[in-house]
Order: sequence, then structure tokens, then C-alpha cells
Amino acid sequence: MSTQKKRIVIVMAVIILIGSLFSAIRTLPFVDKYSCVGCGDCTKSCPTGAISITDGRAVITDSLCINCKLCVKTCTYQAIRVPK
Amino acid sequence: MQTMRGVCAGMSTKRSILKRVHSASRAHVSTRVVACMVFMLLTMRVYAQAFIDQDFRMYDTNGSNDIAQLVQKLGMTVDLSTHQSLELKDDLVWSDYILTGNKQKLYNRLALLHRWQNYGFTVRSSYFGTAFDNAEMTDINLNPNSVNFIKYRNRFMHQANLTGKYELGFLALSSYAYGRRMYSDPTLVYSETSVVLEKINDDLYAGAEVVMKLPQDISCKIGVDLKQHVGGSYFDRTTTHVGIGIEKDILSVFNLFAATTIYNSNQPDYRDILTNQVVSELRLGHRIVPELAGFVSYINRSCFADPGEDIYLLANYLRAHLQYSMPYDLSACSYILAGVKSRPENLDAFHPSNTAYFLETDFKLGCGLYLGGNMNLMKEYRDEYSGKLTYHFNPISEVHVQMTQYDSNQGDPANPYRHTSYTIGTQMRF
Repeated sequence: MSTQKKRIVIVMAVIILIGSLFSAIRTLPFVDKYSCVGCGDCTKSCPTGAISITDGRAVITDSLCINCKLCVKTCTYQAIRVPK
Repeated sequence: MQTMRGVCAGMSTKRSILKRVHSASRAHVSTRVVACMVFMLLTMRVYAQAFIDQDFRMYDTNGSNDIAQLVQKLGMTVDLSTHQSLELKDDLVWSDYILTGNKQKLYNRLALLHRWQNYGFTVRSSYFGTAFDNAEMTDINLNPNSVNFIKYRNRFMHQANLTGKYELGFLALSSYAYGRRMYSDPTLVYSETSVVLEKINDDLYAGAEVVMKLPQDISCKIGVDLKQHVGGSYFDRTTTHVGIGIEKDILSVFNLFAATTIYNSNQPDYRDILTNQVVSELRLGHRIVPELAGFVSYINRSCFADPGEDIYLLANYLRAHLQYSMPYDLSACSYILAGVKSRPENLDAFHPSNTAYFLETDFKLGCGLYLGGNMNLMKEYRDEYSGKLTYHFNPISEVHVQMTQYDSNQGDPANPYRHTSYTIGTQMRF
């Protein structure tokens, strides 16, 4: 394995390690941009108005989210995910 | 000896495939760029959200060689300040073998997006770069006068976008401008010397739209879209549209949306009858209890040559979803979803009629394990059945294995639609 390839592997491993540490502290729902179709059902179910449709995709404002998970239950495209 | 030769040939093929994947990534170096930038930004303690999705899939086809497919998606969103954000995405798709009409493909797409938002203005600028390394020619209708005897192989595509939006109470103004350059290798199928083979093709797009919100939840819009093909006017197009829509909440349980838009296009290759197109949409969403949600939507596309003349049907689309979330799963991720997609009574030349029924489930087993299943029945084409086991090694990252069985409904036992795929993949969010 060349030095350059080793560097890439090390960088990827560090990213995954740091990412795992970061992700462990996240508790709020988030949007999977590949699955979201921008139908807007989640915006109607959100009691605090924390979700808006921007560029045809849902965007959650974390500061307004109360983690009730109503948007997760409403989204029939499984585009809103929540830490499990 | 024969077997040894076969093994050697197989190894050689695999080596060449790996070489091609490597050469594509080397050609674009986007994966490395993204990886290094993610690492840099994380170490700089800038608030960022990143994801890495990878799926490796093996297809076991009926009487054919095994097929491999790799899909890798990397991405990151960084909030530079309260009003600015930066997004980086990189998709690598490699598919090895002709499957159900799809050609072998290998491409890498890099996207860089910047958003600025303040005082009601939103400005987005973005760049998309795609590197192709397809083994086979692709039919692209770049030259309508010689489409039958020129084949093209894609090489690179660069696209720069700029969009702007201004919202002022009941009024929203938006506009966009895109520029696209495509590099391709054209090849003459027959000896034809009079045709000039263009290796570079440029397209320019621009448009604007005004949306006005009226009382009683009614909104109306008017807009224009322009396309110019540099070096030839055959694909130039001007489209204007005007539309009206209404959105109403009914009994706090149902939500009704209805809209109609009329498009008028001016393009040389359009038949007269397609000059005016009408797209009408009706959508009824419902949420009777928090655990039960769904919608029914209907879209109709019709066309006419001139006002007052006959209207012709192009296509109908009908879609319905119903989802029940299991109350026992506090994360709301265990569910049963049933639905139907239908295109009844369509113009066959435009969109052949087709109906699909689907059922999807995912159940929490405990200890981060989820078991899911999926059934997709398309009576005109094929049926799909799949099972998926997912393990969440931390709250938002997972590793999964999936098996999917495809059955053809077209009567031919050797049909490539009949195959099985095995997938192993990860989804990581940071």
C-alpha cells in the first residue's frame, strides 16, 4: 500500500472515530436529503414550526425542535430520522 | 488448464475493474478532497454535520455472471455563520455489468454549495462536477440531425448555478442562472464525413418566477424559463407558465392542496400539440391519530395546440401512502407502510400504464437491532421482495445487510429481471 493510500485510510478512520464521538451526543431528528421529496407533511405536523421547506427539502431548526418525533411518524418517505 | 485460465481471466477482470475505479477517483480526486476537508473542518472545531453512506451489492442473476455494484456517498454541511452555510457532497457510483437494460457505469459527482440568507434574501451558488468512465457508448441526442449514426461517450460535465430569492410578506421573487459544459467523445457509427463532431457542448439556462399569496390560502404564480444551446439553436427553448393553487386545513386532520399550472413552450422540435401543457395536482393528506399518517395524490398532464382546440391526455399519476408507527418504539422508527403508485390510462407513447403496490416494515428487536421487510409488486414488470437487518452501533450510525429477490412478470425465464441481490452497507452521520 502506497504512502498516499495509507494517508487516506488513516484520514477516513479518524473521521469515523471523531464522527462517532460527535454523533453519540446528537439527540434531535434530522433529515435525510436523499429521501426527502419536499411534500411538506412534516411542516404541518410540527407543533413548534421548527420545520420549513427550503429548495424542495425539509430543514429542521434545532433550536425550535422539542423532539416530539411527530414529524418522524408523519413522514411516509422515511426521510426524517431520529437517533435510535 | 482451462479452469486455471478461467481463474486468471477472472482475476484479470477484477484487477481491471479496480484499476478503473481507482482511475476514476484519481481523475477527479474529489473523494480525497472531501475527506481531507471534513477532517480539516472537524479538527478546526467548526460546527459541521457529515455523512458517509456506502453500499456494496452483489447480484446473482439467472444464468449470467455475477454483477457487482458500489455506491458511496460522502457529504458535509458546515454553518460558517448565522447567515451562511457550505455544503460538500461526493457520490461515487460503479456498476459492473449490463443489468435489465442498464449499461455498465462509473461516475463520480462532486458538489459544492454555498448559501447566504439575510434580510429576506437567499442567494445560493453551487458547482457540480461529474467525471464519467463508462465502458460503453451512451446514446445522447446532442445532434438531432445525426442521432442515428453518432454515438457519444461522456467524459466530464461541469455545471455552475446561481439562484436568488426574495421574500416580502405575500410576495416571493426568485430567479436562477445555470451554465453547463459537457465534454464527450463522439464516434461515427457509419462513415459520414459531412458531420462535425462536437466534443464540447455548452448550455445556458435562466429563469424567473413571481409567487403571490392571496387571501383564503390561495396563491398564484407566473414565470419564464429560457434555455440556450451555444453553437446551435435547435435546442433553444422558451417556456412561460402561469398557475394557481389553494391549500386548506380541514377539521385539523386533513390537508387539501390543489393546483393547476399551464406551460407554454416554444421549441423547434416540439410538435404543435405539445406547445401548451397543463399540469393539475390534487393532494389530500391526513393524520387521524399521531401514529397513523398518509396521503392520496393525483397528478394529470394534458396538452393542447391552441386555446379552444381539443385537449389531449398525456399522463395520469395516482399515489397513496398509509403508515402506522408502532407505539412501543419510543424513537418512532418501527412502522408498517402500505401504498400504491399507479399510472392508469396514459398515452402509451408518452408513459406506458403501470401500477405498483408496495408494503414496507421495520421493527425494533432491541439492543440496536432492527428487522425490516419490503414488498413491491409491479404486475407489468416485476416483483421485488427484500429483507433487511440493521444494527445501530451508535444512535445515528448503522451497518446493514439486505437480500432482495426480483421476479420477472414478463414471462421469459431467462429474463435478467429475475435475480437476487445481496447488499452490505453502512450509514454514518456525524
